[in-house]
Amino acid sequence: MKPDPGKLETPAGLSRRGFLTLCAGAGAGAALPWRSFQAASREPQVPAHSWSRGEVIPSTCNMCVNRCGIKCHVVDGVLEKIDGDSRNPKTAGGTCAKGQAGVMALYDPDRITHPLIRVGERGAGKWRRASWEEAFEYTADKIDRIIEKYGPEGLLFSSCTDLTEVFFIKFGKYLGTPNFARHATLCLASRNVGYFATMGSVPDVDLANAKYILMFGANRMEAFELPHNRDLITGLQNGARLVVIDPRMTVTASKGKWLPIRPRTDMALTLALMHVLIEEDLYDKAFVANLTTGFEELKAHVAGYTPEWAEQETEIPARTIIKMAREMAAAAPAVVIYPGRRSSWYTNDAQFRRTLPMLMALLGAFDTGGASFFNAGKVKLGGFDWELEPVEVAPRFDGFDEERFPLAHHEDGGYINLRDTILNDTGNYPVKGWMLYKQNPLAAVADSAKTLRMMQTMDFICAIDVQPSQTAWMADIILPETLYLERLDPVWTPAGTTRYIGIRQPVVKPQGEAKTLLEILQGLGAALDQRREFETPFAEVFNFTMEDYLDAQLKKLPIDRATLMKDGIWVAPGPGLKLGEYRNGNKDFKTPSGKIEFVSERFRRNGYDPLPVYEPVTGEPGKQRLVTGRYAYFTHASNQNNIWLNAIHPENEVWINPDLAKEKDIEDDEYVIVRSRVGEVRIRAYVTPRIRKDTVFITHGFGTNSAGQTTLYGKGGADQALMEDHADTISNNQALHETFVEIVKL
Amino acid sequence: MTNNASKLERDRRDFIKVLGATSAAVAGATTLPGKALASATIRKPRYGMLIDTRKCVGCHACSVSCRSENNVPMRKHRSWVEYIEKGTFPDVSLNFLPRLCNQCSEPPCVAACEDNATYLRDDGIVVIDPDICTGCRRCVRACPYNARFMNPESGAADKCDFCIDRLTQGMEPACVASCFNKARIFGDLNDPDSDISRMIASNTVSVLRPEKGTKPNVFYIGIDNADESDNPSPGQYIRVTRHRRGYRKR
Repeated sequence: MKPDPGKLETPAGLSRRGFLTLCAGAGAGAALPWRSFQAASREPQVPAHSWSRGEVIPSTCNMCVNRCGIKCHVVDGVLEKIDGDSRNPKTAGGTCAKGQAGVMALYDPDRITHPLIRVGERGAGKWRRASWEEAFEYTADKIDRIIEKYGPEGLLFSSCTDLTEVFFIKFGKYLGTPNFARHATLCLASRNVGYFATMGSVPDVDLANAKYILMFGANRMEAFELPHNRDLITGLQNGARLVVIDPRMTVTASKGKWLPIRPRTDMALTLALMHVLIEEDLYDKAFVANLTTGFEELKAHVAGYTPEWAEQETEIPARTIIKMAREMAAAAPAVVIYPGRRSSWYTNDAQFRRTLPMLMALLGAFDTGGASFFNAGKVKLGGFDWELEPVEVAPRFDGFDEERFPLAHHEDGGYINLRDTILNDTGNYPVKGWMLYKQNPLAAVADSAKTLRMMQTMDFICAIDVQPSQTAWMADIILPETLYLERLDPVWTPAGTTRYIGIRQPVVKPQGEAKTLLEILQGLGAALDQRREFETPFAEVFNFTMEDYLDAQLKKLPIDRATLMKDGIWVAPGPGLKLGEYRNGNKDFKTPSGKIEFVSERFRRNGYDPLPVYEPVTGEPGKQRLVTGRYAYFTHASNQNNIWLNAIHPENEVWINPDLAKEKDIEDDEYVIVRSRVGEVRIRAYVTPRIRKDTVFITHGFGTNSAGQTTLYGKGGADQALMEDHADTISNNQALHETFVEIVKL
Repeated sequence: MTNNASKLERDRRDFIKVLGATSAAVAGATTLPGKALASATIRKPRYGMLIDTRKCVGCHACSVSCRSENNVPMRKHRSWVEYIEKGTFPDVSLNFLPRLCNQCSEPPCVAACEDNATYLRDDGIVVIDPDICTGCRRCVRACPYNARFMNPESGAADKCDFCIDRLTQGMEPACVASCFNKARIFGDLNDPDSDISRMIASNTVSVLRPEKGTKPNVFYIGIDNADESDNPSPGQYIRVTRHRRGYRKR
């Protein structure tokens, strides 16, 4: 389903929708302010639906990273409605508000549908429309100049997890740069390091059958991770007890028992719970004896971490902690100690995360129903043969390697570390070009002023995006990618209890001149081939179609591409998950000892505390700790500008406890200033008892610098402008909850 | 909603077909119709909805799905979700109240319409014929649930109609289909074996503002329909976030 270039001139739905008057008056080459590119109407009229006509095309959502199965109702080339696909094992037919708003994302008047080249200062919002030919030449020139001056390692490639990301990384690698930055250190790097060291991997959890569920901060009812949010509701219906530890009462906390912990003291709670389990002889002795190492050291280690001590730290009463431990032991092994996902909280996060599988192991809550377990693996996809000559690359510029971050995932990079390296000019060599695909570091990384300064050191910034994101707005060129509804992607298979393959395929023709990432890289590669000689010319590297790639993936499977495109999903036959393999000794954990390690050999070897040591918390008088998180209808910073979603929550607020509001004489809904050491924002106050007095909360994704996001621009405040650039010491995962702010009445 | 009138006429005809005939109409549907519609083929249905607020997480899938399905103009709402926060730190509750037209059996909006532009169908759905509607707003004012609005495009009153267009295709209403926690059950209240009837029989359910005598056909489990005005005593915190931008309380 390659887009027919002949038809790109008149995008589907142009006449019916009447809002794609994008280029009226925008003569090529003329510098125009952003608004000139915008639609005539701010509220596009979608035609009335006609379910009796049209076709229903199965595909895979991309409004967040869950990849739910969807069915797209298309009439005369126009997408009218998205429904969930009830055959999808993860989602069972449901969608969320974001998935529903995919229709608006497709026809969003702020979408970029042709290449844009900056003509004013960076960020001034002055752009000119360019043809793809010019865009490829322009970008290849800039890349060529950087390679000439600094070598290919002078390029930094940033991208976010997605099905096509492999092409972008392949492109960078083949160009010869070792410098990549991916989303891990903006998200879950510390959790992964903690779990990998303790039990070799991050387990899945059986929330539907658990009797006791303990969640630290994880907010599955708003920050979706399917099927966990569905399973959690099922578990609650089945009578599970849910306890949520969070300084803020999230929607998830509202569905169970909310314990408003003093922030950054979570480890005191887990250590005290372990203390009670051991002290009262409530732990699973057989499990500990057979599947763990280091119990005696743990016992000695937690002896001093009493519930009374933990009460002083956490402000959770000792009797509550004792009760929790007893209830968990009674419910064991059907207990879920939830691993969490975004763990970019504190500078000691990897050590804190380690205590979660340790607690799990004491309860024996693993490899059995209602507990944690390792998944049934994925469907084995065929590999694509790239036929590449190997390229020699330099070491990373930023020292994000064995020596400085031995347990981190080096290929993912560490954002805080690399930005400091560039700004302090302490790298092995200069990095002067930044290629970005589907990533938005200006919004995603703490201390956005610092990110801006880093961008100003770049000779060239190229953003491949669908919309003028915060970062794209500061770029030199924006290359418009197709939306997920307009393209064929590599097939994907999730780790889960049921093994299956899903497909993402075009349901409508691309809007304007948007191209798929593969087409963009092919065009850019061809332009680079003309400028220099590569071991294997790019024309050969990317000498395939997406269809070829899919066929290679499906080669060894009893399903072909045409059938998969028709059905949308293929469920692998045979037994799915088999529990008990670890308990009966058939499988080992991927740790040095092959067991769950209370005393981590990996941590010990690399000079980190082999048992998690609690660090007392210091506050700042007169200031509040800033925490961030999600609402259910927004993903990261990616769709606050979506007209349908923005209408639900047009502007973010700072949550303030009523007692604090009273002290500061702040009324609900009035604008206040929130100030940190690195920035300040003007934002509405949301006075609510759903948060502790020593903590304030601001949801992410607002306060955009991009005037191209015309629905969002001018609304709310940016949390990343306030956050200082702390990071977890072991993983370099950024630590977003380490900033203290002052609330100032206006 | 320019073609509302013809749509409505078509709906009427199609619906009779579905009711009168045959499992063929159901079997040919793109989405499984569910028990309720299957049973609709053998008896006269009365449609209703049950919302289990214990399963609701206020995610707004329903309200955006409704906007997409029914092309609801911006700042107008056929379906919306209210958040109700109560209490004092740390004893706080947060509840969700998904809202839509109650499809009352004694609809005050129908009584208020002097032109018979809005009427109660045999299947229990209250509909509006925008061709007849003169835009007098009497029905909007008569509704005790604020479920109606004036559609600026058609000039007529507008509201939820249980997605009649989808029902004729054997599909569930958009809000029901999109709910991943299955907090909403749609079906035939006249069929004692339907999921909705059995759930109503085996749970404590309630309706909104029963004192109005409207006999709603939208039922709730685990409801907290508190309003700021319900609690005049100072010190007790109640906040209702309606998520109805553009809407002004009368």
